[in-house]
Amino acid sequence: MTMSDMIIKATLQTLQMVAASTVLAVVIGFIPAIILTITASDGLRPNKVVYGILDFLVNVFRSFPFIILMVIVIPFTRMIAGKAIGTTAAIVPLTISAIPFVARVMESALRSVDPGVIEAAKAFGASDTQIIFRVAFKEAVPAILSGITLTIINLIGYSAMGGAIGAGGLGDVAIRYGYQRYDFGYLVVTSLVLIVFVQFVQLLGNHMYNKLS
Amino acid sequence: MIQINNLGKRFGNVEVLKDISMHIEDGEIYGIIGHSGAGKSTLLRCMNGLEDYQSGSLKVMGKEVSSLDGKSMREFRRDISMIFQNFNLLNRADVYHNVALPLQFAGENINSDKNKEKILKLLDMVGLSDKVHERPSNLSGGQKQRVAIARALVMDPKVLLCDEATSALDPQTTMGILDLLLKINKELNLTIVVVTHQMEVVKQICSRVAFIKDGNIVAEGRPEQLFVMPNDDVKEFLGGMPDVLPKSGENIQIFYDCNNAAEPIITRISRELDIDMSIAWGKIENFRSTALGALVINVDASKADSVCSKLDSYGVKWERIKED
Repeated sequence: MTMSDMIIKATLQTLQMVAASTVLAVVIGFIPAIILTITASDGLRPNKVVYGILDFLVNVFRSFPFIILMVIVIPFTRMIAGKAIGTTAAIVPLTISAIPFVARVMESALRSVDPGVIEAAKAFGASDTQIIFRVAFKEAVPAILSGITLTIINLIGYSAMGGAIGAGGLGDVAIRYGYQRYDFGYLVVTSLVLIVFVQFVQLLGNHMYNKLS
Repeated sequence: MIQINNLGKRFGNVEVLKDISMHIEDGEIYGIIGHSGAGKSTLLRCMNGLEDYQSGSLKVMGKEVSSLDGKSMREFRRDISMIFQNFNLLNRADVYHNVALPLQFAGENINSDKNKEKILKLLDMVGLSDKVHERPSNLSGGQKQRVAIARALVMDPKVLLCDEATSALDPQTTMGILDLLLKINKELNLTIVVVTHQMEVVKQICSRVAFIKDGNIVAEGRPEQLFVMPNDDVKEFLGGMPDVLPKSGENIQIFYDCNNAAEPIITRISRELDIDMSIAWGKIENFRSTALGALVINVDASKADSVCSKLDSYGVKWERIKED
């Protein structure tokens, strides 16, 4: 396999891992984000116990270094993906690591919505569901979007560690060819591709933010 | 329309409202005025259930607000509208969708011909026909408040609650908004409750006003009564009684109310008693298009009694100002 074939294949693997885990993490992370927002002390239904437990869990999952998390969740990965190694398998730990992050950035986006607007919605007879989806979520879209941009960039970084469980991707190529075989060319090219990736995601994120806010 | 009897509210151990009673009539503009932290906004929020209360009774259109919950509260709130100091519009929706929001909460189709016509009519009424598709960020403060007023009227409410609605606006814009509120009050026969710390607002539009201080009503009545002849609490709020009055002679304060505002009392008394008097202080203000106020005259101590009896004979209200 030529170097360019190798890089293209790895790039596609990275894209696949990042895209799948971002979508899954955003969809799943949205649920704890909503619960955290509602039960927070300034939320619609303040509940110290529920908030406390969820807050603690989010912090616990965020404390694990990704490389360790990946190993810990191997049995779970096997259950979900049917195998513990490979690109598909890496999506599981990547998603798990991103869920608490997504929950946090979405929580802070939702809670930063002007409380006056929420109060106005209440005064006009909105139900809690309407307040969350038609007011808070709608107003928070730009902030949620920047949170997702951050999540994607984090996941690009984490996906490089996926090589440790044979996930492939650019990180894997960089380690095996660039580091272990001292082939400097691979290090440079993989790094460049990653830089372009991150820049592109950030620029796109900024553009969408400006367009939507 | 709104009956409040012995209302009490606590935040933890702090009593924010103590034994408040007031009766707001159908179709009137009722003012609630006081310093920040006096409890006036809290009182207003009790009226639409945004705040609860621990004792007493608060009935709007015969419904005890504390007895409402869930669905009944949401339906009740469609009749009681509200505007705010900071407008509280959705930043990411245009003017049309901001006005349509309460309809959306009620589950209506906001693009039906009927609702479209209604929203455009309201925007025409508040003078924003040319801003239908603007975002709030492209509007001035006064325009934002006009959008908020249109939004507040879209459900055909019976009561409009105004929470410091003009406090963030400049004096001229304030006048425009007050004129609009007066117009709405007349054309739609809408009961309006206005919470403010601005005397101008009360003077311009309120038919009655309550002064709130530390969670109590310390004075209630027509604005011209309260401002022209204030009691001690109202005086303290208004501040600035005559700063430097003459030390010699006697200072007598004369009140101009609706009955004698146009009479040339001073010159007449001066001529009839053949005495000189000087004007030491004065304030004339506009109350819903009537000029009212007070004047302090300084006369020789020996003539003070005769001046006072003359004032009595003209039926003018007066008060001797004691030296502190």
